[in-house]
Amino acid sequence: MGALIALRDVRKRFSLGEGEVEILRGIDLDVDEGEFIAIMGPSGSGKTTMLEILGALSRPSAGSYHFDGDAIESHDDDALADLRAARMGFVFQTFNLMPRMTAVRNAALPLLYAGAGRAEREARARGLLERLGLGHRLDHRPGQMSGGERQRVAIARALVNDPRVVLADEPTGNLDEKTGREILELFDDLHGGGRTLIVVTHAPEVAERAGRVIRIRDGRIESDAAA
Amino acid sequence: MPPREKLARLRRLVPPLVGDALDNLRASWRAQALTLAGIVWGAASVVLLLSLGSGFNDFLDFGFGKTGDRWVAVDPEYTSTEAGGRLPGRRIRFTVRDLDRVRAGVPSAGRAVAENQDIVPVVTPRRTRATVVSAAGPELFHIQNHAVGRGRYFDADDERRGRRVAVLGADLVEVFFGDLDPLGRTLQIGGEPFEVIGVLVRKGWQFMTNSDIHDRMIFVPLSAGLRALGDGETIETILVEPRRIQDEPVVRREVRAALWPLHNLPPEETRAVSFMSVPEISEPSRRIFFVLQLLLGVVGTVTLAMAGTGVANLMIAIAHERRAELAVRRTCGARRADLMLQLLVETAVVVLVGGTLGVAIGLSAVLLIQVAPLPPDFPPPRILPSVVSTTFLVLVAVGLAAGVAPARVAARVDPASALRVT
Repeated sequence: MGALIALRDVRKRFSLGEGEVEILRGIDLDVDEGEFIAIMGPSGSGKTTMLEILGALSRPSAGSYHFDGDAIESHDDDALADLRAARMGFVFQTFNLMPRMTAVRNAALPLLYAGAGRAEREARARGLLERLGLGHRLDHRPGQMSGGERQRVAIARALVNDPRVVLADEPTGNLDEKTGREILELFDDLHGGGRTLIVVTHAPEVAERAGRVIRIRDGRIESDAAA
Repeated sequence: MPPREKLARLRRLVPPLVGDALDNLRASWRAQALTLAGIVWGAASVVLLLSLGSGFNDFLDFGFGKTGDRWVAVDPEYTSTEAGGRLPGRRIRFTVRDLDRVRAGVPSAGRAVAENQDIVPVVTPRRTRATVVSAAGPELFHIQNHAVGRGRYFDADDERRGRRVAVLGADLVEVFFGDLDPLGRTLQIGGEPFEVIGVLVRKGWQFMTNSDIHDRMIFVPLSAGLRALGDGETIETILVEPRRIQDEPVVRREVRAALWPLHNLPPEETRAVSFMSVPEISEPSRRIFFVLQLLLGVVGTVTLAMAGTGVANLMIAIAHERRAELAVRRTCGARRADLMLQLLVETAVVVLVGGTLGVAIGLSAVLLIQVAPLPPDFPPPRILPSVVSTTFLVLVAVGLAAGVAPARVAARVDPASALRVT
């Protein structure tokens, strides 16, 4: 069976004024189903850009990207959006919840774009939030919840479409130590359940839980090793 | 995407987006208050202005309609040319023969009727008063838009048999009969007894006469009236009604062609009869009122366009403020078109909420003016259902026009920017 994600000589360039700067300089990477990967590296090394490519948020400037066997570097914008709606989930450092929506509606958002009806959206979001220990917060808005609870809602949103991969960007970066630990335990559980996780982080305690740590420097993979 | 799938996506997305838009409006109505006020003001003004305009129009139609809005009065005058061995300045006299000629020889005319008017003493046991009496054929009823309130108008049979019957203007009942029922009672007109067979509905003020004269007149058949009012055969005026209002100039030509041989007049004679035409008299007023309506329409449109500028501004601000939210929606699988739809739905909600409020205020203002004590004959504004639908249509068009450009810009948000929000 092939890898879930396969990057070959992926490059990403941005135009900067008159010149161009290459942020990713030839990334080769295979990610198998069920892996828990931490991507680490100093600021400006290209971690976030790599997550951007892995999450189909932008296309590589060069190289190839196969997701589940599909060459997606040639997908148009709508096809990438549909791919994200159906097969990817995102967790952000700043949670990025919709401030005026309840927990249920926040968690259900990807299903809206994936084509689920209202009843199904609500049922799946509720079930997931209850499993994540937020049964008492279903109709609360983000402003009425703690940071940890908000990140759980964000994780519920990332999981609600039953994605093939969850991509997280510094998921504990805005949380206190105890809450951060709880979130990481949740990630452990997800990994234990066979979910593929890719987490960009500075935090060593995140890397400790990952099965594989990829270190990036200057747009290249510096090391790729089992933790 | 196939159209059916697009429609399904639209049907799935619109209801929650409308909910979100209402939530956003509730949460940030203070920030949107100015824009909303602009739309409310615009919609209210348009409803009020258009209603005032249709009121003016009614007023015009009504004011002219009360006297009949398209007849032409043909009056005999003096000749200006030498004809048949007679010097210029000969007095033309109309008789029933002229009426018959007009009826037979003016194909563009729908109706023609002779009318004599005179002020004569009218006597009842209650009162004697000099009163304007009109003697005319029964067609006058239609040509001058009379309406019978009680009893009946005289008909062709009354005319043919020369019956002495009379129809009273509304204000004369009290004058001549007080509280008594006038129907079947008699009045003396020019010394001859006439039986009252009908009373007209009150007309009020009329444009054509600048008075309420029809309410203070007595109408009798021509045959009986000619004897009571004149020499028994001379006719003062022939009223001709064109079949179509635009045929009025043709009617003039045809009337001349029909009457000239009867009076031995040469083709170059132009002054032997004069014409007084309601369309000609009403034309300047109609033009003024048209310009007035145009002005009201322009004011309304400009007001709405200003509201539209407010909407465009608001949408630009929303699109800017919510870039982060839009980017996150993109990571959740929203397509660009979905974001555009979202912003257009928000525009539509703001516009419809403001528009509904504005239309309600405009309608209330119209109702208030309708029940307010107005100067007599001030045209009350009238609500046309089309005014409300037009206002909403214009609002939606303005909203969409104002919302599309900001929505397009906003929908181009880079989904990757969701990762860079701090």
